[in-house]
Amino acid sequence: MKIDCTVDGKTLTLSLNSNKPLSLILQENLDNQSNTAHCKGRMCGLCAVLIDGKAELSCMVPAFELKGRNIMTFDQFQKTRNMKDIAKAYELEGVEPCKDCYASRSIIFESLISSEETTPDEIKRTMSVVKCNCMETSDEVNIVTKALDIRRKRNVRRS
Amino acid sequence: MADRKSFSRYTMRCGMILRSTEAGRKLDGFDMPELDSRFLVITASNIPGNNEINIMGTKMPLLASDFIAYKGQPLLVLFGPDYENTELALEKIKVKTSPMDSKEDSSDFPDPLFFSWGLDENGENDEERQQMKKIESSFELESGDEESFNRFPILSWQDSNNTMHVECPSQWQSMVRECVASALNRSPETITLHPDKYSEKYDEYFIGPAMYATYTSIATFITGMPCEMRESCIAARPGISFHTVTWIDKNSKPRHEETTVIIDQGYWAIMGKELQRQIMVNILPKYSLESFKAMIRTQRSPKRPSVFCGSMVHAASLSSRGIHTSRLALKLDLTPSSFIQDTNKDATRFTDWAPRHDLTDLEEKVRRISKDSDFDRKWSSSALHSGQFGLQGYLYGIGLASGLSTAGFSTTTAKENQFMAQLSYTTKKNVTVSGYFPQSLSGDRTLKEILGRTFSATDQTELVLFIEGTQKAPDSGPDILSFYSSIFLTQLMKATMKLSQLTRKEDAELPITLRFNSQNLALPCEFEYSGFGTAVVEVEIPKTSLIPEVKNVWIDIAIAQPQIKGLEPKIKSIALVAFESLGVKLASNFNISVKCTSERKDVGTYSSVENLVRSLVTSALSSAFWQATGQKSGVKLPFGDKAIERYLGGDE
Repeated sequence: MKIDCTVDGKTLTLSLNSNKPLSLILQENLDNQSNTAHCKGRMCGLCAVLIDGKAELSCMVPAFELKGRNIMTFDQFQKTRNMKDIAKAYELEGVEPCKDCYASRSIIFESLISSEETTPDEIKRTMSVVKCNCMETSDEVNIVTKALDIRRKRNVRRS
Repeated sequence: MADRKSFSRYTMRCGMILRSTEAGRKLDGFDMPELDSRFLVITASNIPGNNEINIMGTKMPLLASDFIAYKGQPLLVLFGPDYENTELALEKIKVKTSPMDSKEDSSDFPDPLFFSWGLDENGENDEERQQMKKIESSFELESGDEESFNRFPILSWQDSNNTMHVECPSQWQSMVRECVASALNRSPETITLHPDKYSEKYDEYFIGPAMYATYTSIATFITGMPCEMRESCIAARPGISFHTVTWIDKNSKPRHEETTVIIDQGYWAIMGKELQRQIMVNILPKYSLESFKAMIRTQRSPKRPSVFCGSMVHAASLSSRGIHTSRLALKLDLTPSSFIQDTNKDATRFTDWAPRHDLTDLEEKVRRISKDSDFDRKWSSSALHSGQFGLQGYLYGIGLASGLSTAGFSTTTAKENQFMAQLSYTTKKNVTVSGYFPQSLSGDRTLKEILGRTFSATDQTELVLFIEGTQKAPDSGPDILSFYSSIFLTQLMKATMKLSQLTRKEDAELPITLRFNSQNLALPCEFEYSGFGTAVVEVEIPKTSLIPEVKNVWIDIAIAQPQIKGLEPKIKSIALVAFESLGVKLASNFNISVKCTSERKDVGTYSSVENLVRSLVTSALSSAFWQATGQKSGVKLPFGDKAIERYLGGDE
């Protein structure tokens, strides 16, 4: 089937099997560099992407659900100002994810920050999708809180 | 070199593997659908060169040809214009199989490894054992395989000079190159490898990348187009079962023991003999026994061949020993620690059991020394005989110690030397590392690269390496088993990351120092004979001060390493440091004579001269000191340097 969608700011028309997962589309058809996870349903949580601003595991999204959606991968997200806020929060907190889960965790952090989610339980629940144990849950809560502060200040300055 | 970035998805071929779903079947062929010219099928019959991959001396087929050895074995590789079409076409291919005769594969498989001591002529002590209590324990490490979460792209292309370029994530560059060359029937010089970013975490996954690189290269060779595969890598570990039986006498002392180990390494045993040898080292009991028998057998099974899974195998065999010791303690109503303490009293050191070391020569030397020496006259004048306790008459002693040196990273050495390393971020924003370094890391480059990766991105940190002590690890094994270096680098990387995070904190107070353990105690044990040494120490206790003084020292070492230049002064300095740390003074007429010879110049190992010399002089000194203080009577030893030289030189 033919699917029109936007990936990293580019409008594409993809000719694909309707049940092909987004993670494989990114790897095999679009040569995405940040997404290499292929856990075959083991729920590694390392393939998160932003779909219409919300983090989702790309291996759980079939091609037919992509029609008209806006997808942003870490390849594009790492160049944005929003990622700089998260990187600054890593720096302030003194912890950062390992290189395996850096992209996925940052994407999920962005999803939480953009929805202004500050409830610790909700943050922990959302972040638990990443199975890599390089980061403490308390650190994750602090990072979201700090990154949110940084973004608010930035927005105030801009206005 | 062809420009890697100039490839277009339209001019590439994407490959997928058809794997077997059952094992132990005869492969009769394939039912192929009609495929157009965009597709390429690679089977065992159309590989241009040899259908085999050589992993550390074990040869396995690249693609199954006559029979299916294990579930998941690659049978066929299909290359197509894109992954979706390839997958659809692959689903239509049917594999034709039939039941296989019970014919075994004739490829090499290691013979069982036996080791024993103290057995009677029949190899058993049956009659005696029947009257004893029997305690058994079993431990099993289940075999398994694990697929990596990530898929690695493997790409190959050919340039105008007919050079094959391969890009794959592997640190085993020469192995990949040779596999590709063998499959293409070309010389390895015509293959250029571009190792993709690699991390030690995937060290166990080395079979996969080599096989996939070979498949893509064959496809490129046939089609002339760049070919790509994206595959997960699989780490398989061997299954090992341990069964130990101990016979205990009426006094609750372990007397006889038998251990049987069965290894399941899959259909091909990669480094099977090495695995057996390493398990043997770990299953030797630490308590005294009259007899011991161990048998390690590797059996073939229809499973994926497992790579040499070093740390896990060591941990499993040590665990089996630990479990058996606990079982013995439980049956004897003791706690494991008190059992170990109890049996350690008369424990025999590992080196006494080390296989293949012939101690006949040493025993002969000691016998000759004992025969010709007589200190009886000294002891006869002792005040001890008359019941007067004092040092008079015991103020002089000569101690002799001989021993073997083993190269390798031993548990014993690990316990004696805490290999801690230290990483500091100084007030001048320098990074310093101090500690012992393995031989292979003595150059600063590797360390600087690791540190540079973390620190250079943040600020202009100048990297300074401060190396404490020697640049060699006190014990180092052959390169292939240099576990220490891999552990050290892993720990260093973790510590570097942690330090980097600490320095970035706003309230960070410099200097920041981190200490990290640069060894893994669960990773022993590769022993190789690496030298023989003897030390003689002459001690006198002056009546005036009663502080022991070392008068003469003779050290003779035959070391199994090619280069001995500069070793003699080093040995002298180690001996002097040992004396100092043991609290003895050097006499005014102190003399030290060192002789060092090189034997077995062909070996590539480096001996732990430090440990050997330190242990030799320490034991020789303690022996001499015991004589001098009268705590050990009846010792017969030679006197005079000429006599000693005569004995050690082998002159009758």
